[in-house]
Amino acid sequence: MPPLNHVLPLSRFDGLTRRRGGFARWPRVFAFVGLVFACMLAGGKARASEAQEAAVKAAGLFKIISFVEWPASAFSTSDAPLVVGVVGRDPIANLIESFAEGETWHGRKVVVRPFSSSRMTGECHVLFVGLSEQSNWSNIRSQCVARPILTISDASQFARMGGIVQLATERNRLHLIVNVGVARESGVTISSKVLRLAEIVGDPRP
Amino acid sequence: MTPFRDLPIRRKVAVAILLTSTIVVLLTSAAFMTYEWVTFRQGALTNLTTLGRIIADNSTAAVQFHHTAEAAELLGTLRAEKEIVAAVLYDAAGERIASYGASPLAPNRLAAKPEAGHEFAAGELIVFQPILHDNRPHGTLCVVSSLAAMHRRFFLYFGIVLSILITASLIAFALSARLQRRITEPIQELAQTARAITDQKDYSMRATQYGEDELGALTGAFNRMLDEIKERDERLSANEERLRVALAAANMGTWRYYPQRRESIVDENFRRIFELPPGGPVASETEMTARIHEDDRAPVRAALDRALGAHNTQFFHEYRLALPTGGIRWVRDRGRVVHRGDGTVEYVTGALVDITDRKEAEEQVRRLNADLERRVAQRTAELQHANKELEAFTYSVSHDLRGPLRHIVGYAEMVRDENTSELSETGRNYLERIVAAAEKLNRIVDSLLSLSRVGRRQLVMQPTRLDELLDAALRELEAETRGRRIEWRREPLPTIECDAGLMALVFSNLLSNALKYTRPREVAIITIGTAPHDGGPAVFVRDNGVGFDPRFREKLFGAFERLHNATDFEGTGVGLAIVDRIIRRHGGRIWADSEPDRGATFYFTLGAPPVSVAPASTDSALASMAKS
Repeated sequence: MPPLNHVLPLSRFDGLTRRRGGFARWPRVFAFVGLVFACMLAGGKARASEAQEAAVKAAGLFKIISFVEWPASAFSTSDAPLVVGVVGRDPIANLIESFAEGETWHGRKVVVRPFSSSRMTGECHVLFVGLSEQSNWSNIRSQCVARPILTISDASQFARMGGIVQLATERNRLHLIVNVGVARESGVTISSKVLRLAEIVGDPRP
Repeated sequence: MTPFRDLPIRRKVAVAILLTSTIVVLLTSAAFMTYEWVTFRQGALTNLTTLGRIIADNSTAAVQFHHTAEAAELLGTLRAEKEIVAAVLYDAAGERIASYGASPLAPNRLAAKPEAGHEFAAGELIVFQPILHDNRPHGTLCVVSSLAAMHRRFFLYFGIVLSILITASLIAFALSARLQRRITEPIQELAQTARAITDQKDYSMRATQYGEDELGALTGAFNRMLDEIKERDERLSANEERLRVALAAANMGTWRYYPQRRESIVDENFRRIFELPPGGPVASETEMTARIHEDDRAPVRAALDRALGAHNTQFFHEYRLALPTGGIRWVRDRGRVVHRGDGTVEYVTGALVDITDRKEAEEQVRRLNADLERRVAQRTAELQHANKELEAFTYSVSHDLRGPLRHIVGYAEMVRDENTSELSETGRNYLERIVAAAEKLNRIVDSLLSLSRVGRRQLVMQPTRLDELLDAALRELEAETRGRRIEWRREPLPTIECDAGLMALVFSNLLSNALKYTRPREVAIITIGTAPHDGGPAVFVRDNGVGFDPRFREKLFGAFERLHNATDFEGTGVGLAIVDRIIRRHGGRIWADSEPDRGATFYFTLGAPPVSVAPASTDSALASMAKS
């Protein structure tokens, strides 16, 4: 393993890597590295930048989840996993699936499930809407109304169009836009710590 | 510098009190300061850690989303706490996200730390606080606080403690100076009294007693001891005086000789007797030996060596001193050896007296005795010579008288017998008287010869049974007793070493004497026996005759001494003189007891003790003989 320390910027702190139990994270790292290499091979600098942005956004999704609270009723059993639903197919969606490996939320396992935009059945706590499903947004949104589902997308104007969290990047740093009104209606609670970093849209008052 | 143990008690007590109070205050202050120091540090640490936790908790999102502006704003809130000089936020990769203030520490000291911790260094406290979210670390907060304020406070405390210490010491010193007097003053006074008594030897001094504590008890005991010392002193000096007087009266000198040191401790009397020059109590062995008479030195040494020997402890010797003035002094010296516990000789102690006077008296007695003996021997020789001459004279006179006497008797008888017719009655009568007188004279001459023979004859000593001699004597006297009534009473007599022929003469003389003087008695009672007497039994012959006047008893045994008229009792007057001479020659003695008309008893003893003592006399043993 020592060679990896040099190769991987994430493992600069030995203590951190080891303490986190390490191996659970490797698949994600490999996936990310593989993706970067693939993009670079596929075509030039622009593609590499795109891939990096996707990785930031995918990672950001999981970071946001850690600052969000769901009502207890959202889970069927006490040990039911936190379900991350993905509609549409794009690089971010792919990364989410690989990044979810080993993730937990307040002791619950985090699982990723693909959903079809037409019909959403079964439990779902987070719903990532890929760019490919932008056109079906109104349909998807209607199915999510008044359900404790945190909707996330990197589509522009997503928050203003009734989505809860919109992911954007600024100089390779994640930028969040949160629609607090929709969030309140859906029943999920987003930590003020995140809200202080985010751009707020919508009316927080009921 | 004086060692502590030699300091006066006053100082010791002061030092003890000061030391104790100072150490107590110091220890208390140290404990207090340590407590303050630890409390300050812990307070500062708790404060900073709490602050750090709040900031870290608030900055979880800012760190995770790498939001620099938000992070800087959060750190900016630390301005409210003046002591916080710097703060830095790092992400999980150790990269600096935001910072506040300027730490004087080197940048590497502020490196991100993965776990909570703190460091005290160079007047600053650094706290590391990991930023945890959902139990995962996302970065580290590092806060630096200046300890200058705390140090200032601590120095203020230190100043207060120091001034308390100084004040407490001063008060303790002042208090101890006052309080210790109650303890030290009685001790000082006791010590002064003791020193004064030692110096002046005045045991009438007394220490003053304060209170009833241990010091009071000590002073009381000290005073009682002084009483006893004084009493003993007086008793001792009285005894010493008595002893000195007694020794002086007895003219006795005492000494104590130390063999190892070859010297003696002697008293004044000893010095005077030895005529040693005046000096201290010590006299060297050479000094003393020089005084002993040359001829006596070796014997004195030998006697002393004998006393020092293993089985002898007594020393006794009389010897002479040759005085420097030329005289001789006799001393009697008596001593005893004193041993140590291990058996070796420690010293010899003794006393000597001047016995010159006694020795001189003894010498004089001895001289006088020798002179007397010499004179006695001379006188005796003279007397013996005179005696012999007298005896020779008596003998020759007696012998020479016999021839003429025989002529007188012979011729007188011839005249009487042959010329009967020619003689008248008167003439014949005269002749008868001449013959009778001449015969009487002849008997006297015979007695004198007998007496002189007794004196000249050589004694033949042999064991002789006196009973047998008595029997023989009685047989010879049978003629004289014819026609008389005599009662003989006999006790058994002892066997004695003597000359049998002479002793027979003693019995015949004494018995014929008894018969003669009992003639006036109708019944003569004559007893022969023994009576107890100094140095053995005395043989006695008792009669119930006419007796004699005891005033003249000494005359009885002289020759020709007569206590009775020759016409009443015939005899030559030589018999008892013969008996006396025989007894004397045997070394014995003869004497008589009597009163006129009440009988007489003649006792005699012989010098030699009896060969066998006669059985105890009893009445039945008495052999009584009565002759008609």
